[in-house]
Amino acid sequence: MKYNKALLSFLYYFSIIAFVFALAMTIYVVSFETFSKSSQVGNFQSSNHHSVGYNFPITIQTSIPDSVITNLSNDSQNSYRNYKDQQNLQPISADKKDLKNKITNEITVWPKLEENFYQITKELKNSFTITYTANNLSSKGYARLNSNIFWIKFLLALRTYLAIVVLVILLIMIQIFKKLRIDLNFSKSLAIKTRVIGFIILGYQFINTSLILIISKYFTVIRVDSLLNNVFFDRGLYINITPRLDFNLSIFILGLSIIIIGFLFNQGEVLKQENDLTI
Amino acid sequence: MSIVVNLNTVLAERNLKSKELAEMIGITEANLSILKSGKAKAIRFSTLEAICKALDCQPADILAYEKE
Repeated sequence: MKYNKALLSFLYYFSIIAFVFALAMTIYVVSFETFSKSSQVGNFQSSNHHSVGYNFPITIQTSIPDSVITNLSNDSQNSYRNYKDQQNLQPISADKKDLKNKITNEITVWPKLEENFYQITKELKNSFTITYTANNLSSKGYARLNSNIFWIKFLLALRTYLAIVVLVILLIMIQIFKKLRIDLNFSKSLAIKTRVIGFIILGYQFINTSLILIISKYFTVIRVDSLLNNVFFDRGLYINITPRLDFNLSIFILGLSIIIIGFLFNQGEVLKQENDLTI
Repeated sequence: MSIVVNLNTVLAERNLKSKELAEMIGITEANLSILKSGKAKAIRFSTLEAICKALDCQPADILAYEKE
């Protein structure tokens, strides 16, 4: 019981801190959106703004045909080499960093590169070699999209600011933990609030996915190809940027589970009442 | 509820007050009131035994079944 109280107190204060932080961030972003005409004021800037666009989930695919790229971190050259080209061991320019810069010039992208295929060989204690069999790399990230069509822009903004539901969830959590700290028992309000959290999570997933599907109709594929002497080079490096359905199955299952837990709390409340009314 | 609690009648017959009975059987007056008003969902055998002992009666004197 003592440990339960300590845990509940921790969760209560943690929820308050998270709520205050989320509220501050929301006020910051909404203030920029409302009062500023650009996404930057002095040293402060906002990544989502009507002047520059809103983050949209994408997948970036890069293809480097017939290449094995080795990053020798312990090597002073520290370069990427195309081992197929044995005669001319010039570092190829399309390394990860350049690739990122190239994309950044086209549209603003923050790729979190997650190489699909790689092997790590530990050679020394503090140094290791990463070998990429880099024929096809895929990464998940966000592209900043903007549109001059009002309703697409509105949908993009709506998708971004839909995350405000986190504030509502945190507020409900604060109320739940506050009540449980005083009386660790089943109650009608606990059951209702738990179910509300579950439905908010499911609703968020549903609306978010629907918005992405609608926007994806107007933002299909961005492809960047290589040119060799100003001629399209079909065996060169290319980048495909496609919309990503940002549907998180684990969060969806979490939402469903929370709803079930809410119903269980309701049943617990009925049993508690029966117990209380047993003389 | 088709089970009726006749505790008021038995108490009146024995000239006892609810407060006195509650003290005798060791439950709160609020719980006894719930029992008397028929709001109780169940009654423990131990409580029934204590009531019968205090009032010198049978369970059937306190509880009765009425067709709805």
